[in-house]
Amino acid sequence: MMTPDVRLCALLLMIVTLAGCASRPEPEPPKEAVVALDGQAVVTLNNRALSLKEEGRFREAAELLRTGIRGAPETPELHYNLAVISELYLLDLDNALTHYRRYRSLTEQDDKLVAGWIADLERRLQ
Amino acid sequence: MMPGYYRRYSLLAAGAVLTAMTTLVSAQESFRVELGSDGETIADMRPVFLTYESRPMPAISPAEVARRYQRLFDSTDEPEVRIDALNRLANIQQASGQVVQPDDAEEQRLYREALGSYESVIERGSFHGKLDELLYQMAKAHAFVGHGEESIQRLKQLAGLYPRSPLVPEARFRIAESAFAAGRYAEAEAAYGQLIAGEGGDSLKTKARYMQGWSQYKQGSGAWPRAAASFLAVLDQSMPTLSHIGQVQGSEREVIDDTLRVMALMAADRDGAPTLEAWLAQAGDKPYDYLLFDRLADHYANQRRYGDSVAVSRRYVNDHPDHSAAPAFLAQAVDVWKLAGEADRAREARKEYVVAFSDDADYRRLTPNYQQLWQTFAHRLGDFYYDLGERTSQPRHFANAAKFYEALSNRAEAPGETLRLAGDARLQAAQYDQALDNYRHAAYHTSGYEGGADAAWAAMTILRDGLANRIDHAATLPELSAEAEKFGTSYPADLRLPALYADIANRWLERGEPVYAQEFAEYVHRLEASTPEERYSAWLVLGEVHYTAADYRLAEHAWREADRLIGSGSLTDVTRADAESVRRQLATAVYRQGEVAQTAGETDNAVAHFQRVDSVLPGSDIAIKGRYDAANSLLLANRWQAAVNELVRFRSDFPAHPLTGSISDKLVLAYTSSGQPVRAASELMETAGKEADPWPRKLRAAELFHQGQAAERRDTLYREYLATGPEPASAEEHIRLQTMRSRLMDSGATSDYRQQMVRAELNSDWHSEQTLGWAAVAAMELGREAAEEFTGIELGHPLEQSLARKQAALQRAQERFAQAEQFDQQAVRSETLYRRAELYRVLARDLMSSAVPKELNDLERMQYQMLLEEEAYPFEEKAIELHAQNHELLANGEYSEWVEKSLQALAELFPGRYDREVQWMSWKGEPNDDA
Repeated sequence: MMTPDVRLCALLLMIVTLAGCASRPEPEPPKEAVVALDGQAVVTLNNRALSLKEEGRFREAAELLRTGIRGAPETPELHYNLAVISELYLLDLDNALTHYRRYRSLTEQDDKLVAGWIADLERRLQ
Repeated sequence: MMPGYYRRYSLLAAGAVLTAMTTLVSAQESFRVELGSDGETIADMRPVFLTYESRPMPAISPAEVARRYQRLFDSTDEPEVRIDALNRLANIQQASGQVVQPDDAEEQRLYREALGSYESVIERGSFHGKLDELLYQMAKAHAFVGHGEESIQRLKQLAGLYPRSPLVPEARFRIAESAFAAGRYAEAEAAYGQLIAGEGGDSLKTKARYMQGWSQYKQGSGAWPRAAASFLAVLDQSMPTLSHIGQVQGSEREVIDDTLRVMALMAADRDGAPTLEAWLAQAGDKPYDYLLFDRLADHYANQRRYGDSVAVSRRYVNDHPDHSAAPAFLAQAVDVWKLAGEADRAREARKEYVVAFSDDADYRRLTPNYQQLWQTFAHRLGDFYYDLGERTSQPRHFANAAKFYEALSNRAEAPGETLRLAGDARLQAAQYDQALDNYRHAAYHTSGYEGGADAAWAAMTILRDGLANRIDHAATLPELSAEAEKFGTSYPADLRLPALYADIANRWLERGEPVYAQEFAEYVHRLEASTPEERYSAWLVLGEVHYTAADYRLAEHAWREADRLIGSGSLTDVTRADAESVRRQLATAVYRQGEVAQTAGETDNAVAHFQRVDSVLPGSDIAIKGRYDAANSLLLANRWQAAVNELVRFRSDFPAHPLTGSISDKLVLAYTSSGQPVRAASELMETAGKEADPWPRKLRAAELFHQGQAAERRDTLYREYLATGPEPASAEEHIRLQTMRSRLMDSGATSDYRQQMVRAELNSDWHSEQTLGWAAVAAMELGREAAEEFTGIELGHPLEQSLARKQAALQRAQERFAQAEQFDQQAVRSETLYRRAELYRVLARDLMSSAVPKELNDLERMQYQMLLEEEAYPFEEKAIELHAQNHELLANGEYSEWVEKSLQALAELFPGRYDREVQWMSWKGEPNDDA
């Protein structure tokens, strides 16, 4: 078992590496490279992705979020943020729909606002 | 008279011999015969019994012995003793060689007394000796005392009584002589004939033949053929062969001479040479025949029959052209004509002589004397024709003179002067090639000729005159040069040589052959005798040569030397203009060295050369140019500050010089290159006002002000220029104008320049990325200003009017944004989309919020509001559409602040689709599963 500090360091290293390579197409990392993220790492990753989005580095932000999702697929914020960035900045409506839906499925309360967005997307994608 | 025979007598002397001979014969005593040194008289003869004549003399003196015999003669009465004493007395004188004999009177007494003794002896018949001898002695005694007839009688007795006596030949000779002297020539001829035909007396036979000839001659012309035969016999006796002719001596020579003379007399009295030839034909060939003709010629000459004399000589030469005497005959012809005072004929005779032996083989056969004579004649003929040529100015006479001189030169031991004369004559005859040959021969192939240098110079003169077309002789400069070098080699100390070399050097220079020009100019300097003038000339040539060869250092040296000679005062013909020319050339050479150094990148040397031109020719144009180019050298070497200093100094020193006009540009270059653009610009501004069109310089200045960050001074110039309303005539001009506007915009200028820029770019056929970008920026700014104006217009009552103003403002803003997109869509599209969208959003908002007219009631107010919403809705839709277009740019990866702003606007206008809030997370510190 890794200690939390060790895991955090490994995560940051991975984030930096991914951020540096975001501009060029990279092959999908092998399955065995997926590392499960703990809560702190997910928070760090999510916020870092949003910072990248603030800087206009949308693809890097999205990729980081996808990484986070692979490490913490049950984290709704990651799906939500990936859906927003995909919808507004990458104009990838399919991916946005997917992750809105995943977000909705992971959240217990019935978010009508998000439901409306899903409906709008489904309509626009028809 | 012939040489080799004996010394020549003059013709007049020869004539005198004949007269003397005749006188002698007629006056002599009966026994006295003058036949030369060996012709003894009877008195001289000695009795054959007096054999002691060779004994030694007694111890007493001969005079004493003679006195004793004379006392014996006088004291004795014995005839025999007295005869003996008389003989001994005569022998003493013979043996002692002293004059012991008594005087003539005493001797006459002795012989008269002796005659008595002889008669006594004969009468007594008691003489014990030979009677023939006694008769001979008696004949001698009679002859001595003047009893010629008695003497002849005793001799006839002797010959008759004792025909075999050895004394008979002489007795006959004496008898013949007696007959001859008495004028009985036929008798004499017979008597001589008896002697010749008889035995013995060989020594007398030649004389007898000679006298027989004379006896025959005296008998008249009818006997002359016999006389000729007799005389030829005499000559045969003495000169049987040619070799004997030269050996004839003494009295024999005189006999031969007289024989020849008489032969000549006889022949001349007839028809001359033909008579001689007839006599000789009869007698056969004679080795001495030429002597006969010679004497005949002499005789004619003596008789003043000069033509006949010369004719005889020529006749013999014509018949015997190869005879050794031929030259003498021909020479004699010259003398004869001279004697006759016929100078022309004498000259023709000389010419005949010269021509006769002009052939080398013929000349070699001449004796040295005649060779010398040939040379003398040839020289005189040459002189004559030369003089004649000078008197008459006829070239043919000079040509004739030259022929004689040339012929003479081949044979003279020292032909130098003759060759030179030949050269002079050919020159006067305009026969230049031959003149050259003669002069050259005299000058270069005649050792020891003192006038060789003058001859060589004469040849040189021909070539120079030919080269200058002063005479009709084709000469070339190479030929003249070769001649001059030969002259210099042979006569290196000749004082004319330096001037010659200097002249040739100048000729080569004029011909454009610097190598040869240099060669001869350097010759001048190697000669010690060269005068300052000649050296000066040579230095000038060398200066030109080196200058042409771009060897300016040596050119400077040459001209400096020429200048030094001028300064020394040793030149007399140098004018002030010449001196100035030299100085100018010297200065030019120095200047050129500066150019060379400059080209080679040797800046310091170049500057030094350029600057020292002024020391050579102070204040001259070239000196000023030197100063100017010194600065240029510094410029070329990027030595900016030094160049600036020189340029400023130049402008200060020569403010009015034409070159000063370009100083400003050079200063601008120096300032610019040395990072002083503001100074460069100021320099341009200083001089711009002097130009007809100042703007090129001002605009350059503006650019330099820009580089020097002197924006205010730059912008002033831009404003002034743009105010002139320039229209671009080229892309460059358009760009430049737009650049000015751009910079003015950067300096915060008014929107006028933005409008100018947009308008200029719209109207221009030329664009660049830069101008399009600048125009796009300007249009955007104008658009923003219009948008701001649009936003500031409130919609109030009456709405139509305010709305119209607002729509007009919207329209202006839209146009500016469209112009900006036209110029540079890529750069401005996102912003224009945003701003255009905002125009519509603001318009929709302002419509919605515009004041409702107060007079409306509630219903109307509600209807009015609804109407406004309906009016505003399309604008809002348009705003959403444009923002959405801007948002769509993200599909191409184009993200900008204007996209983000459009997204924010969309979030307000269409929140259901665009209003999204991301979810930031925070760590809540959940316990570690592993803890």
